[in-house]
Amino acid sequence: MGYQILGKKGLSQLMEVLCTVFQVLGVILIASLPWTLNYYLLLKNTTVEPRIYYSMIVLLVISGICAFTILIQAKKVLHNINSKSPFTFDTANRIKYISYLCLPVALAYIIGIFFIPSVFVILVGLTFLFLAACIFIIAELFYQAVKYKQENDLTI
Amino acid sequence: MPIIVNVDVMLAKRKMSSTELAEKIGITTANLSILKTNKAKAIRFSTLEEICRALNCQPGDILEYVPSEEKIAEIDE
Repeated sequence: MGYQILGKKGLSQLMEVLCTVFQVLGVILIASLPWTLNYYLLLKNTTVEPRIYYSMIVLLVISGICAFTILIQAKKVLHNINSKSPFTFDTANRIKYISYLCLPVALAYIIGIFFIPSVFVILVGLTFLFLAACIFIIAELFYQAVKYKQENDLTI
Repeated sequence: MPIIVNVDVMLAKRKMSSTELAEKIGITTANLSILKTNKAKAIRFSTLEEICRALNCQPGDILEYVPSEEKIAEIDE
């Protein structure tokens, strides 16, 4: 495999571009959510109660807003990685924010189980809860890495 | 830091410029500046060896231990 992961023309660069693409797609999707959801239900040839319909909209809007903010942070983190200075307090802070932003999504989906009768709702909720914990640990590792890097930079 | 780096004193004794020393030991002037201003957290034995060779001196000539005030207070007690 001659494909590089870090730096320009690497996977991280592709991901940075994809973040922007997903942000644009996400905004379009969230802005047109009432129509898209109707179209989706029409396509599946099903109808849902208004209570479930509005719960779905609220849930998707909450996760959409959080995902948008996560993408902003992820883009900055990837930018730091691409500019060859990944181990800075800025990166560590942004990774920590991402883990915090996973929590509202997890909470929304866990509460959502009371409104939407689907096993996938609780599954997404638990997944985001798990992700938040994992990312928080990675953020802590980054803080330690920054300390080691500073120590290393000041060793002559 | 209770360890003081006296590279500039030795440089003056040997009448050598910082840039010249940096070139001789193969480090950047920025790193030498960190060392001279006591901002460095550690010094590699290899760097120390190069500095001693370039300045023709002993490690003791460029490094000095000055007890910090807290340590002095501890010893007095």
